[in-house]
Amino acid sequence: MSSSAHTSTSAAQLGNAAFDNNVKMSAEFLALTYGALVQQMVEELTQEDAVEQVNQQLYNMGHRIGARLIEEYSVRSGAAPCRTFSQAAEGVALVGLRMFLGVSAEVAQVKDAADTFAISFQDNPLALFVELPDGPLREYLWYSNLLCGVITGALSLVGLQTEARFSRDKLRGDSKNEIILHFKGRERETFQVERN
Amino acid sequence: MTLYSIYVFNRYGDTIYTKQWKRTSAVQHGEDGLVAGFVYTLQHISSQLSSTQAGGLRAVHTPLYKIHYSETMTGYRVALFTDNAMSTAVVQGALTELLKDVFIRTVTKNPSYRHEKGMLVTGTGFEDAMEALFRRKKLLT
Repeated sequence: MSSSAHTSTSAAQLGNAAFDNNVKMSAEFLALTYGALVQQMVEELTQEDAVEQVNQQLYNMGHRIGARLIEEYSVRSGAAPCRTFSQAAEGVALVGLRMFLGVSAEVAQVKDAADTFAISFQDNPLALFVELPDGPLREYLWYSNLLCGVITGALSLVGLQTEARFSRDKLRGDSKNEIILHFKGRERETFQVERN
Repeated sequence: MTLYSIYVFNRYGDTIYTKQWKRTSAVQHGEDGLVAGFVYTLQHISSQLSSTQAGGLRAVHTPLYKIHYSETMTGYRVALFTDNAMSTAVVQGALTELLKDVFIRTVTKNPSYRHEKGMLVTGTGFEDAMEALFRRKKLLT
């Protein structure tokens, strides 16, 4: 337990240091830009209740963003390469989210599942000024689904196959925001040299 | 002090960038693949033989030249061929800065580049920024 606590403290310290050292920008600017993006996606829906399309678009966009952010994470966070799923989950929750969004998240292993973790946080900078209207949006939209794509995109570039999905969202009336991160396994070695 | 050639590989083993400076022999067809396999294998041998978790390939010294190596967490690898007088520590510093600063600035943050199999580093300003770095470090004159 002390070893685990020490690891968590180290990861949290890395996250705080990475956040402090980062160039800052206006949280309002990010929130409004993201809001405009989501709103445009919703307005472009040909069917009002096809909200899952927005979730998927946000996820796909996030995946591509994550594939680039991981490079910056690896350089500027000072975090060592993760050797276990638990370390990777901590890297995401305590370093990555802290470094890029200033989020204070907690990470816990889901009971009876060694490869699944719950990342929970109270404040969501992407949803700063947002209220969802009653109806299909409140019921089906995961407003910050871009974050799930970012997480899986980043982890895929360090060889970890994962799934990430929101399980709770304060915008829907839940008491906190929660992402379930499931590790499907390690990518097989991709480096291959062709003999010409 | 002389630079002979540089190769950058992605995590798929593709040669995404290469440049020759003062090499004295002709470039052989398929040579980049041999370099990729060579540094990849040596990196794995070095890591597994290491008694600490910080082990890994830094440089290989031959009677005629030296190969310096560095890599990123995401699987980008660089091999730099120089003469034997090149300091391993100085080149390690330059390659680290190349991958930590130049590569991120001109490639990763360039919207026209994607982390995909076969995607080459072209038209990104990488070469100019790399050579500016090497001149600043006195590796290039």
